[in-house]
Amino acid sequence: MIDFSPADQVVEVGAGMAIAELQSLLGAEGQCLPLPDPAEWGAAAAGYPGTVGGLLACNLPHGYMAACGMPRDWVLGAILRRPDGTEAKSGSRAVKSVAGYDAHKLGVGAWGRGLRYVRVILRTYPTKGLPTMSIVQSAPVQSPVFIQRCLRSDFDSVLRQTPGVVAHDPQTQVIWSQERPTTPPKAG
Amino acid sequence: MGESDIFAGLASVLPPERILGSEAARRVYAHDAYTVDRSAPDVIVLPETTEEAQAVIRWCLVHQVPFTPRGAGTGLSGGAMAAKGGVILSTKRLNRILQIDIPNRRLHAQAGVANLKLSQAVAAEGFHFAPDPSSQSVSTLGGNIAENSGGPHTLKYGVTAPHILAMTWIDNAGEVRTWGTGVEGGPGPDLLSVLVGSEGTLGFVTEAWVKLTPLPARVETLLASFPSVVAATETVAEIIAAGVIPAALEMMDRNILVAVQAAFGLEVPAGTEAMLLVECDGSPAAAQAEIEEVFAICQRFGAIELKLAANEAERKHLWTARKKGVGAMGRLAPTVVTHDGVIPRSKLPEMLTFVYEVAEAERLGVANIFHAGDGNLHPCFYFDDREPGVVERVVRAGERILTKCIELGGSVSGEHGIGVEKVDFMPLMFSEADLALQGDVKRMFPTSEFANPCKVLPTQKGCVEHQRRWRGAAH
Ligand SMILES: Cc1cc2nc3c(=O)[nH]c(=O)nc-3n(C[C@H](O)[C@H](O)[C@H](O)COP(=O)(O)OP(=O)(O)OC[C@H]3O[C@@H](n4cnc5c(N)ncnc54)[C@H](O)[C@@H]3O)c2cc1C
Repeated sequence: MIDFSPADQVVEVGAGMAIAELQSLLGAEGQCLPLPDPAEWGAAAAGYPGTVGGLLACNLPHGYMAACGMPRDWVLGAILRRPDGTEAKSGSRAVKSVAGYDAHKLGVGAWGRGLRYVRVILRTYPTKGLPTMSIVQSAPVQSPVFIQRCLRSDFDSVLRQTPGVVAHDPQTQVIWSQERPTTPPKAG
Repeated sequence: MGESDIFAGLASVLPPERILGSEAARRVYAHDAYTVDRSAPDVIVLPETTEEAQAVIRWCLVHQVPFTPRGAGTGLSGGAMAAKGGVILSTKRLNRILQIDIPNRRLHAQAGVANLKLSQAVAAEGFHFAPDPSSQSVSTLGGNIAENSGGPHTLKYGVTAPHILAMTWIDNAGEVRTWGTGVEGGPGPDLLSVLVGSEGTLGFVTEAWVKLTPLPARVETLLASFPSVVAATETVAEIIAAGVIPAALEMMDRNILVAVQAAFGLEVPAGTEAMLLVECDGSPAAAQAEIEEVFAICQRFGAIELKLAANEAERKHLWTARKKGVGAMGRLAPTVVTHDGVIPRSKLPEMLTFVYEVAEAERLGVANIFHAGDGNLHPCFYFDDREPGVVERVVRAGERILTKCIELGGSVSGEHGIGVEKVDFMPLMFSEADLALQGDVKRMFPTSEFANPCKVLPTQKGCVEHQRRWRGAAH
């Protein structure tokens, strides 16, 4: 951890820090990244086990998404390593900023391609403000897990047609399943 | 290429009644709400569809005529100014809501629809478009996307980016692209987030699918008066630190209150140096619990008076000072320049003290009305621009404040953008390597020196000479 300001709800960490370690450091100050407790939620706990860099690179749906957004919404800035090895900064420690092109968003969901996170600045959440989750867990989890997200109006039928569902969230229309989904993705 | 050639050329791709070129029109379109710099376009075009806009952009690219997108022109950094002249591509006629999909909580609209119209269209169904810049009655969806606009309720609901599901836009090579799906958070790099907030320099947005957010079941609004600015800013820090996330947390200092009092008869308790407007929303129980906690914190930090809105009419009344504050400032002096900087919010007490010191040193009036919960300052300097040397002092004061924002870990713009106004401040915040990375991000997209030139990144081709022409052209 490079810097943590609970009063600002902003933390700057090395991208290699384990999520579990970061959560315990933040937890000591009543803060957290809004990710479900893996012991309780298994598959629905995106980011565990793993690192901060991995969390952003995958940007997976999770149980608090409806109220707290996706990892992409938490990244305020970063030091990035470019493919040629040079490093550059993007963003800031402020919770909002419109200053140039947000290079720090480019690694989000990129699965490690292109820019690498060296350090990231993230916003944290007060633990006591966490909402109740609407995830329904239906089976114990074994990896790997497939994730689908669909339109609200398609949710019931997609859920019915998906084999091996382990969890679903009617609020965000995310379905976690152990078997490859058979429903073809719909346009829209 | 001369003005009449441009007019004639564009008349081959658009009906002539949708091309404006009169002296009066060119003057109106020479600047946005940032009026210090001015540069008139040769013509203004009003496309009605994506195809028409594409035809105009292609024509401009082929004939090497600069073009600049424009929404309602409420931008505060000169982003919609035609820096090298040429064509203003206005979204005024791209003003239709195309589809409302309540079951899937989304809405499809053209880029020129005013922000508030989006919310009004779905209010009866219990929804709204959450980003609410104070300019929302006129500022457009396309402008909000370009500036990644925030507003009083950004603290809880976020800026524009998370509310945009998909966009149809024309890149700077003239190709129509559709990015995003109707479902949020798909796999792959988050390019949509790079496009949002790129100030109209990467392409022209014609349509977007936006997310609709349910209206809260209960809203509690509190107006708190404090005997000192420090007490008010410390209260803000404490509310955040206590883990409450209000829907809005806004601050107004004494000079704003004096103006609003004079203009709208707002009652300000004696001894008030600052007011906080706090709104908590959600389920009735949650909103109630939060506002009670905020109430207690305000009391602990020495609030002189606490007013809780009992109904919708009172709630609107409590918002008067916040909503009309900047307008009322016209009473203080002939000219008002609103700055925009952002810092980590725990630094607010230190930052505000600095703002007052700078104003005093530069002999300028300053009033503060801003999104305190986000740490987003808007110091408004008011002065008489006929006074010799005053503009230089205003510019210097702005520079000192932004330098301090950077020093405290913040940014040179919270929501107004870089535009032409702050291009020269970018090197204060970013090193050469950082700016090189941003340049490469820009080049990931098709680029053209004719597409919205001279904005955001410093040292663009041919801009220094043009800057001499437009800088301070208002004077
Ligand atoms: C009184 C007042 C209050 C304000 N309050 C706030 C506030 O609370 N929060 C906030 O964030 N801002 C605020 N602003 C600033 C401004 O209103 C916002 O930046 C707004 O989003 C601009 O929208 P617009 O339609 O007026 O865009 P314009 O000013 O016309 O354009 C802004 C930029 O967007 C680009 N652009 C416009 N349309 C498109 C398009 N279709 N495709 C691509 N690029 C496009 C332009 O090229 C330009 O760079 C305020 C301004 C005023 C005058």
